Amino acid sequence: MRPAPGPTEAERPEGTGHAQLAEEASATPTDIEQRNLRRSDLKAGLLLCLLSLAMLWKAGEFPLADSYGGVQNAWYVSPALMPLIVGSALLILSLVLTANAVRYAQLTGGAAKLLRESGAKNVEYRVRLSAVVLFFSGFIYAFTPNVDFFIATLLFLSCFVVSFYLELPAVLRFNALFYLVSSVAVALASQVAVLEQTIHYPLDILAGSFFLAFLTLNVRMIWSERGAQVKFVRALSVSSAVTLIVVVIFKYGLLVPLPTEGAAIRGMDSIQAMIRGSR
Amino acid sequence: MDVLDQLGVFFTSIAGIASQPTNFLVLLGATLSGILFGALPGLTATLGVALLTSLTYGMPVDTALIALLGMYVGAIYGGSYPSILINIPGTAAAAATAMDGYPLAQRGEGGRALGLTTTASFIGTVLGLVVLAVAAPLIASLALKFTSFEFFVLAFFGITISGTLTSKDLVYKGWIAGLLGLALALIGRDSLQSFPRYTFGFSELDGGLDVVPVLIGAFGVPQIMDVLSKKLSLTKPKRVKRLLPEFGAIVKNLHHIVRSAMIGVGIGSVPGVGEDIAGWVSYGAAKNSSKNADKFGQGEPTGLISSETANNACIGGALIPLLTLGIPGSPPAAMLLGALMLHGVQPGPMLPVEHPDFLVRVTAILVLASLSMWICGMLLAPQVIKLLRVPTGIFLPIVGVLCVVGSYALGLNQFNLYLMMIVGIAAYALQQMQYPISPLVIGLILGPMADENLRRALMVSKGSLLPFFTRPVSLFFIAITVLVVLSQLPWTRSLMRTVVQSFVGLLRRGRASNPLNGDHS
Repeated sequence: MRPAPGPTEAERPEGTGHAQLAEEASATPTDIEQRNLRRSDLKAGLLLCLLSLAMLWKAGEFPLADSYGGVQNAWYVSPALMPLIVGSALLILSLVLTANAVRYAQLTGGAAKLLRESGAKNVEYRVRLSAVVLFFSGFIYAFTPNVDFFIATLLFLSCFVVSFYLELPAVLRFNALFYLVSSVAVALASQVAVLEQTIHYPLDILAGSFFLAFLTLNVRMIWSERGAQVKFVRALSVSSAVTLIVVVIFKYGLLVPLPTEGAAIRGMDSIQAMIRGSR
Repeated sequence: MDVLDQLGVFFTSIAGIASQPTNFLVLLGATLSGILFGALPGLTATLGVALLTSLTYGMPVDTALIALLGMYVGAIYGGSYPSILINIPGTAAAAATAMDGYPLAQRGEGGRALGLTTTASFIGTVLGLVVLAVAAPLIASLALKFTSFEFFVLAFFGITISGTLTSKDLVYKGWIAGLLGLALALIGRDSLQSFPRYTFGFSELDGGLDVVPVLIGAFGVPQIMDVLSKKLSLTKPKRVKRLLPEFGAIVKNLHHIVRSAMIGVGIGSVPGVGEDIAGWVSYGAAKNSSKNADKFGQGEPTGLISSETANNACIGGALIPLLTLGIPGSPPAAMLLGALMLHGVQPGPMLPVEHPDFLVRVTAILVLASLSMWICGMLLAPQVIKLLRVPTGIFLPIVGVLCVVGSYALGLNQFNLYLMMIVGIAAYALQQMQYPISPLVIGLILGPMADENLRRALMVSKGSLLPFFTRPVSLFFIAITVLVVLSQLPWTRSLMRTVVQSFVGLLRRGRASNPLNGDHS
């Protein structure tokens, strides 16, 4: 996040005439940004063209004038009307976007050259971004539908916080890969029906094992760095505390059932029953 | 309801809320949470309202409204903390605040700056809701005469103007974002014939996309991705000992405050255009009209007061079209619309008919929310500031968990989590390419309204488009929309430039040839 920028209205470009495009093509400090934006416009424009064509094609299957549900349609009350309008407008604007990017590219060496260039983002940025996406995706697509929410959240938060709080690139890469492997393992194990028939809470046990492996491997990695040890303990404490607080508040305070209630949450239910029973 | 009745309901509502410990605690807690949400970079007022929607789903409507409005008011104000103390706006609404707030903090006057923004925010909110209380019944009574023609055109106008004013790069990127929002709104069974559109056989999509997970995905996930991927290291906030109300400075800047409030309300009432633009426009207007214009950007209190008054007055402005027309004036108001509908309150022209004292209750709650914001700000600012030291690597993953639980809690539907993630990644990609997200949200929210009303209108006119151009309100909004679109086209701009230059040239020639000027050509 940069310090406060100037007024956004003043930054809006005047128009997209040739003279301005040519000016943009000469060396200025914002040239790289412009170039990156026009490259992404070219790709996005083509993608949006395809999307709008797909939208229009699908809208063609909606009843325009024939009857549906026993009601004779007319074009003006057809469910296809709005999709056709939106799809057409989107197609026109995406063509304009693409044309603008192509015109820029023609002044600066051609569209093919523009597309071949890579963006200005560095490797560390890509690794960090990929890690964030991996953590979220693994948590949402693999863990929450299959593993006890308490255990899933504990593993997610621990991996996530340790990776980004310790600020050690090696730890971040390792934990991202570790989480990816554990997500794939959990997703595959959830397809094996025989597991549920043989053991209680097999996926919770698997996730719990991954958590223990995470602890062991990370401790080994950061053992020699004193500062990192303190941060690691702090990260784990915060992750554990937040997981407990969130689960307790939502499950027992707001009475919101959690996505998957397995071994840990059943254990909490038992504790709650004992507390109630003792009163 | 006449004025005396309304005043009676107003004071009764205030007394009722203040006297119930639960409501009082909810108000304080929500306002404080809002300040935290606004203060922590990466979190927004919209995300705060979205997460709170899930938490307040089971509460009575009044309590939920207290919580949501408290969060809204607190979050818009809370953005000023990091703006002033570390020169990074906590929310886009506080971007202009940093221009003079941070220089004040660097001089050791952080407490003074925060005191000014706290009081200015309070006054801005109150002035905004005064306009809301006066204007909303008038607009609602006018809106009762609107038919499907007007509502369709209004929805279309809202999406267009939002796209035009919020786009930072090419203007049609804003329009594309609005159309993408409309496209998302078309998913599901249509309301008139129940025909499944773009569901691809998934029963989860039959009911359309849930607003809360989409908004959490659009406003929460990209922020987390953006801040963590860029390895933001926030500087230590400047120390603040205590906040000082500075009533003297407020009185001295009264005319700036009133003007800023009007700017905030005006901009807030424009659909989809949020508090950030109100802050900048007000700052610019204050600078242009101030005798100390050269001191702006160096710690001039007028700049600080103007931006904060405007962005908080925007709250009242954003609620005007929301409550009277069902069209949100800003992204947090869009989330509020979703929350109200979940609680069975349908904003729009029928609101005063179905819930006659709803508007007055909202006004009363806003008064208490702004008072609560002022108290929390004055007393708890030093504690809130300590939280700015929490590293992003700790609090953003926690926000991620809250996003997941918040998206799941409303529908208890795992599919909403998948949706949140997909929308989040798409929104991040769009933001990196300088597409504004507000029009997308407005398109999603207003899409059903546009679709239904267009088809109903055409059903009435049997397919004729003529009524759109013969009905005065409809024609007015079509004309404005066309003007807005045309004004963005390069050939229109060069034509207007040529016309203006010719006109100026003619004037100069006229003055030069006028014998009374003493100039003879």
